[in-house]
Amino acid sequence: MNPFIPFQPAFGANFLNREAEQREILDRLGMGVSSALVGNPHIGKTSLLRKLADTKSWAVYGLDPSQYTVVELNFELFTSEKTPDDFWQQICRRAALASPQSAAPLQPFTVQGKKRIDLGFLNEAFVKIGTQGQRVVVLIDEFDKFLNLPNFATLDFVNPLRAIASVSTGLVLVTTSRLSIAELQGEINKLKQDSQGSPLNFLQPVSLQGFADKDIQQWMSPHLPVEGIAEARLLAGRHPLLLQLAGKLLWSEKETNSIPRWDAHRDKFVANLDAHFRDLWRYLDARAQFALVLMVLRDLEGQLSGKSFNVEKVSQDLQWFTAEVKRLGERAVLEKNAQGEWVIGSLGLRLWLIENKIAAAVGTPLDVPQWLHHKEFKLGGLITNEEIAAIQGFVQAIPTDFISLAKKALLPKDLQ
Amino acid sequence: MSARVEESLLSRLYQDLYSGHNVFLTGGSIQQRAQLLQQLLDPNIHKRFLPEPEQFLWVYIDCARLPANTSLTLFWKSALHPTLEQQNLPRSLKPFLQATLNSSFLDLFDLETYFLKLSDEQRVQVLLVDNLEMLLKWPKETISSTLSSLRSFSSRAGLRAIISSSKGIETLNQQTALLNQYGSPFFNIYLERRL
Repeated sequence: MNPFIPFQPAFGANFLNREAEQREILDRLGMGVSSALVGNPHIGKTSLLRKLADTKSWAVYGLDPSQYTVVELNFELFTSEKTPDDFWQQICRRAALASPQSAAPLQPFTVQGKKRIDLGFLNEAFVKIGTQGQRVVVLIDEFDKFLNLPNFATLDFVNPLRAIASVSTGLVLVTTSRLSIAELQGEINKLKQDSQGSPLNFLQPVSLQGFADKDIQQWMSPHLPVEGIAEARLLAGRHPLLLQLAGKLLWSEKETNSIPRWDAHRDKFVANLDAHFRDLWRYLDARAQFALVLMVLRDLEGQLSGKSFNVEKVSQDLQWFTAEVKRLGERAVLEKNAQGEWVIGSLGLRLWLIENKIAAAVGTPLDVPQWLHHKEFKLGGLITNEEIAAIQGFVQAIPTDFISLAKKALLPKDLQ
Repeated sequence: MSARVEESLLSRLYQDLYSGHNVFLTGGSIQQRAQLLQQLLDPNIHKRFLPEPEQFLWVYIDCARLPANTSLTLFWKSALHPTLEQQNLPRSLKPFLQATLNSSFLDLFDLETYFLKLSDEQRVQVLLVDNLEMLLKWPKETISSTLSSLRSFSSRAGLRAIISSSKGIETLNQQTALLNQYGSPFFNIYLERRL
């Protein structure tokens, strides 16, 4: 059976390392501090949250599992008629069911049909749990979805959440979200014009990165030979979902053909990830999108056909986007190469960018502002006239048979 | 589709299911997709392709046959009710599922508990959803709650979904984006297979 399972949360042998992140979260948890797992699509937030739910491994990190009651909640299961009272009631019911003794102070809030929760009494119950040396740990997946729900996208939900989790040591949260804490707070502040507070800053962020090379080797080597792993790494970079998908396609190739053609699945790989890449793209702001396009062009510099494509200034132009490049790195869209430079690690993402975000602009007399508009870049002051002029210069230099040249140029030299 | 292609596709889909995937089928005609789902339901074919067929509890729902005012409760009740008659539903779970489905407003947290208990019993509910794009005609709240719950349940143990739709994942993600502005899109946990 194919051991690689893309698009699903990873578990068992497919769950890789995350040692540092687990330690960071569990250290905080021991001190009663809540955490927010933040990261881009399919970087492994849910997988790590599920791993944390298994308290058996906590002793390794110096925590006594018998002092903790873990409750899992997914905001996808809260429908629009649900209220914060339903949220608290779910937590209390699940905690009381999992640990009737430790979570006994929560018992009064579990009664079916009792709709109003007195938040003062609830706070006291969590304080009592804390003073008894116990903690209720609530793992909340898809936390940012509360913003989709009218009864939750309000300070009446967020403020008590903050108050109870901050004041009592009996309640600790670990959330997952695509939006950073600052971005979530920005959205909350939009809800109420006069609100400029930071109601979510009790959540300490943990950002997830791609996997380390040694972990990738260790994970894939029982299933793929060296050539297969090299191809997976080339296609996927260090991104968990991309590696799972590359692994799945290459494992099938190995099982089907006695002489595997490792490079036979590149188009399929990109096609299978089209919705994922579009999802990722939508989450980037215009400048970050532009920085990615520049990075692809930089990677191609001088490689296409010297005379007809020479965009010497691209690397220089990227300096305008230093902050975006750093942020893309922090969100694991980019990775560092051996020289310590940020690069797009996945050939699949580079090919997708070329085909979907650059190629359509090639071969016609170019009106750059119009092109940027069509390519979904919102100009509104984000890109200066100087930048536009520079872009105009190098985009005009792109040859018309760009896709085929680019695909070839992006491969390592020995594969060209 | 030729019989041979069907055979290899069936084999691949059962492998997907067995290894833990949720699958999104698109392309081909309405009839081809419907026929494929019916074949996937066939117990005789299960014996040929699945190592442990008794592990799976199969149910089928056609969104084209549900009314335009379908509610979340109606969707899940229609989808899961046939499970109550299946021999391999663990006895201990039958009263729980019955009570959950009989309540006038379905509680998604109870349904989540059912799927997790099912998984504890080494069983997997397989939900085949035909003509999913028809759901876009339902009330907005139903679309949002149905797709959210489907995503949540099928990304955990206990439920796997095989969805058939004339529209692909990216199109449906776009068309439901306004109902789901924050967090993951509804369809990013599916392996897309084109007929």
